[in-house]
Amino acid sequence: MKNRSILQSIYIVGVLGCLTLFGVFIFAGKQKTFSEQENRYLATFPIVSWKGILEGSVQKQLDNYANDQFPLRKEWMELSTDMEKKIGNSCINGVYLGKDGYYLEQVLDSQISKARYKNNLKMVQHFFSDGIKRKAMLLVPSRGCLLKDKLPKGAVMYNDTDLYQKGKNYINIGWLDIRKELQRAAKTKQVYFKTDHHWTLQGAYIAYTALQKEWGNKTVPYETFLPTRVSKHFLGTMYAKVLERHPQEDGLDIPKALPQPLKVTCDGEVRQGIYVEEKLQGNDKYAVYFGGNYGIVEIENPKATAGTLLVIKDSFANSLVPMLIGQYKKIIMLDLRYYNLSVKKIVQENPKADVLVLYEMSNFAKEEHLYKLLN
Amino acid sequence: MVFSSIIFLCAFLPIVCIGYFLLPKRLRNMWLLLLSLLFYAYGEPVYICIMVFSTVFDYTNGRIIDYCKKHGKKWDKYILVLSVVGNLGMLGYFKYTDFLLSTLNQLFGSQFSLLSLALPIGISFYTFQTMSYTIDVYLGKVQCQKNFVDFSMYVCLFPQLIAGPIVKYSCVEKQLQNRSVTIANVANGFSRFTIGLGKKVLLANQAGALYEQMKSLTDGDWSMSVAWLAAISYMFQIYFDFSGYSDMAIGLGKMFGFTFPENFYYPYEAKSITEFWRRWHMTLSGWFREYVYIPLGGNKKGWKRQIINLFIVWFLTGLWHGAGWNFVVWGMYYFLFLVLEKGIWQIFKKKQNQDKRCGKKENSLAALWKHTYTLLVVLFGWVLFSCEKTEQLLSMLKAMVGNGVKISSPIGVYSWTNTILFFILLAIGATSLPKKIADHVVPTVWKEPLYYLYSCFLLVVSIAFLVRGSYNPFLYFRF
Repeated sequence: MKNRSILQSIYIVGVLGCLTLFGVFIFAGKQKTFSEQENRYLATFPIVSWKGILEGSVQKQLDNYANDQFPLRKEWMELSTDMEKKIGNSCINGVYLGKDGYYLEQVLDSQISKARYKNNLKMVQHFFSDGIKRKAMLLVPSRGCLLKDKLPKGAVMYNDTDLYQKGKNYINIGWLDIRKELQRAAKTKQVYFKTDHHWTLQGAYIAYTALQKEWGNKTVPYETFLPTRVSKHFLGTMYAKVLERHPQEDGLDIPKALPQPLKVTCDGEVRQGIYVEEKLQGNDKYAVYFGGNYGIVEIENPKATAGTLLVIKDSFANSLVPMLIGQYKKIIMLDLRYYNLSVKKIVQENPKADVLVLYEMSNFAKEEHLYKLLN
Repeated sequence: MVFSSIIFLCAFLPIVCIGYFLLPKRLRNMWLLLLSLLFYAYGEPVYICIMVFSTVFDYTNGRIIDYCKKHGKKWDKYILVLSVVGNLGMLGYFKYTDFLLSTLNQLFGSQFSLLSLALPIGISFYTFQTMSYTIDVYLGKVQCQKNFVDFSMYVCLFPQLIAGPIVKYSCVEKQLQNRSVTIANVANGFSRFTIGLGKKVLLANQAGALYEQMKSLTDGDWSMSVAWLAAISYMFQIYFDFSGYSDMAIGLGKMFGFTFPENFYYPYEAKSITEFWRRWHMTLSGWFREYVYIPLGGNKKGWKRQIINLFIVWFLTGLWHGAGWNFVVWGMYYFLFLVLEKGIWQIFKKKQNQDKRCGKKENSLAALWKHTYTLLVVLFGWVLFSCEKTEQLLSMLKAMVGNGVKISSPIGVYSWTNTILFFILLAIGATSLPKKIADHVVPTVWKEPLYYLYSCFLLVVSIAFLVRGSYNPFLYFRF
């Protein structure tokens, strides 16, 4: 009887003691503001006001605060992934745990609206038909669709064949389909990152060669760009969703052979180069290109011979564009998610510009801002 | 506030426990009342007024009824009517006004604008509790509670406040003043709490996430296998969520010295719908039996009257679960099966009694059939319950019988294989098998230490999932 109550006391003091300690740590510990692993800002202690309390927003933020400031947060999250894996789940937080350390985002047909995709294509078609001379549109295959052999057994991705076929029908001039070339390259090289949703420089280079061929330009070998490994410890956006113990880190290569001098303007801010090296310290290392996404980026290279290139893009273009800087006097990149001024005006100001539309396929199919092309 | 949150586990719970154990006995009810009000106000900073009003209202009613009884005044009846009308009126206003108006609009094409009120959390639970009090005071089953703090604490007590069990006043009448807090009770209560937490966070939430994903599939992804996966995962979600909440409530109650009634007894093990409802949300069925079915005459006034009584009870039970026609239909669906079962039983009763006398055991094939029948009826019941829109219900039912859809789709195959282990775990967890195995296999000396170890394991993993911030819905906002 006495032994039993000793056991019960140990149990109760143990668990309640631990919970109390966690609570003390959460509320009295040092407040963290950013999570590197998840690449997001953490909830901080709410500003208490009567209005906020009555609306419930203070309580909501307090809930998030307690979650986000929990001691050893990373380890707890890894434990939850561990448990999910143990129970046989190979799709965590919408990301397939693929072979060879690949994390591949699950995108299903149900998530892709055919109507929106068609509508987006029509808008590009309309945009292209407006007196643009040299044009190209390239939709980068989704990682899971291209790296089928890396998917876990039985895993399903959306059917991109139909989408590419439809794209070709709408955009007949300048439609670039690089699936075969990428697939061939993927046999010997790493064309996508394992832990990030982007392509590697090798992948972007395949698109570069396809584009040069389409426009009748000379292609230079990959090595000419002096690809340099700037990080061996890259854990990207897909890792941030999975948060697995012992992930396979990626190496990040960027082209170092760039013409000098350059004038780079990102949303009005003038810089000397396209790289933001500080980003290599954080987890979102892909942002080393330009420091992330901006509404408008202009790159001026006075030594170049060709005129202007206009790129309508998502972040996949950020690693492709550096390889085109040597050719063009001016490259203008527009990210329609953030750019709110007239696109038409830019086209009118640069009447002879080449135009490239570059998105990742599922991004393009879901994109809600393409109407801005016609503004 | 909800139990399955870090703020509850690491701030509220330690504070309420430490305060409670340190305070002298006479201050403990006051402490629980204050913290319960804080608990409720955290989630409902405005609607707490309604709960406070409800408390004062029924405290006063109880006192007046008691006064009338003691002084031989006859108007205690009217006070009871006032109390019932007041409680039901409040519940009706917040929960059913929009339902009534939109039904009228649909029927007669009228243009009543809806109130669009948010439902105060737990209102269906606490109004039923306070009603049980005034009715029982009137019937003389319980003493009138003169201590306002004790009475308020009964109404507002946070463990069972927002998702049951529905604790009748008569269950805890004595415990309000006299209850013993022992180490054994605290340890037992806390381990029960962690089991409920595990059910909610580890099983119900994951099953719920699966249900949400399957439900969202369309076109080429949608198929019969996907529809079944959705239906089964919802069936698991609602059981583990609801019974998990009850476990947590009962466990917390025990920590503070209360004995709350059990609410679930392995309902998916039932061999008939009648039995299912004896095992599912037992305190609600008990409430309806005591305060509606029996006062209406129960089964004492002939079979015709019994069927009418059952109809009323199940209409109300359906409606209690939510203000929507699908819930009413769901209630009627069970009414139908219960009446059918009662009819068939009348016929087979004689034969069964004979079998029993001859010592014949029920063969396993018959048992299997009974389980299958019950589970299928319950499964389709949950489909009715979960689909609020008719077209949604029709597409679900069509898919489940394979009408106009493929037998399976690649995502269906993948999801089934990906979750089969989890489903086996859920299925085992929903039965009494783990308990039976533990009872028979584990030596008595080891039972308690292993149980606590298991409880710690559940707590640790639940915290991991909560910190991770995975899918964590609150299902009772419409109850």
